[in-house]
Amino acid sequence: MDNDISNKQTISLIARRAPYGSDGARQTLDIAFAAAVFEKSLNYIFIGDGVFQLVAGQSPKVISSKPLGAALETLELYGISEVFVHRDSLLSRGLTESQLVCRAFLIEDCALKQLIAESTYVINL
Amino acid sequence: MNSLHIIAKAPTSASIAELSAIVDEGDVLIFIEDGIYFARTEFSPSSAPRFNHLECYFLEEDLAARGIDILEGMQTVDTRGFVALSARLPRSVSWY
Amino acid sequence: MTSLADTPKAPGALRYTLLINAAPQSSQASKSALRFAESLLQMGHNIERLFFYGDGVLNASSLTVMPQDEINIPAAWHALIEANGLSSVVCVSSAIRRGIVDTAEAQRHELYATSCFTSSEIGGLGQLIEALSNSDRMLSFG
Repeated sequence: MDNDISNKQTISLIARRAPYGSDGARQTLDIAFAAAVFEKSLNYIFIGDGVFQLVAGQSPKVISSKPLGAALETLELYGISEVFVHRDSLLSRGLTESQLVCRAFLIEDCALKQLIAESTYVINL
Repeated sequence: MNSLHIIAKAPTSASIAELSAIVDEGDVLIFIEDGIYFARTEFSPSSAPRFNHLECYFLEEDLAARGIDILEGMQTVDTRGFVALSARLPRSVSWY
Repeated sequence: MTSLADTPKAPGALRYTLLINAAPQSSQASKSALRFAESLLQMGHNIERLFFYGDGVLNASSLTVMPQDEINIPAAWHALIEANGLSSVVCVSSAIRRGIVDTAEAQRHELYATSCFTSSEIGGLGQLIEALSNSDRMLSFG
């Protein structure tokens, strides 16, 4: 729709809230899906309590919430493959890569800073 | 290319950990709203050198509103200065 | 209210998208965003789009009543948008959940009232992504 320049824009989403307790996780996911529809280059970064969004085995029906983990499982179907998890956040919460609902790149601080530095926009809700 | 970080909430151990992971050398920080309380915990002479070696600003209106004064050498800007910072840095990262 | 952006654009003028993510009654953020937007225009920059998301959609409520000694933030946004001919979009999925509806949404969902200032348009997240394509900067307040 627009020119080449806009197509080269990269949006980084920082997901740093736990799911269900507040709306931030879902709002970030909805932006990811919208950006994917517009074929934007996207980094989806999970850090802090945001890593809890990726934990497998979520059953939120009983609290009348839509499952976030199940939606995150479908990211790849939407062409969103640049999914990053901050390694220290994961490990400091007693989680391992095998417990996550989707494939993600585990990254350290320096790689994270680099991703941000290469982004056109950063959305951190 | 460096970023402008806009910090709008008082410090917590979680926000300090996340900021430390993401804020890069050469980035610029502006503290607004309850973010100005970072002045008390992260910018005193005894504070750990996490952010106080970076280029940092406190929003004047929010400092005045809360009756918080800052130490000599710490920089303040008004909202127009905030706009100018956002124009100077190529991207912003909001923390709330 | 008069337009803040009558002056010719400076050579360094940038296009901004502002994302407003908090309700006017529960956080300082929308007041900060409003002051930022006013300063931005006074300094000769452009606002590509205001995008109200999550609880931020309550900033477009035309049914907000404030005590006389408090600022009515939704009314202030409305005045700013009208005076400067700004593009303002309220996220539809956030809005209908919170009772912010315009005439079209009220008809679609068979509601008896409208609550969205006519200066804002109810639209989708695609309009945020589109605005980013045409902007130089994005700032979010929440």
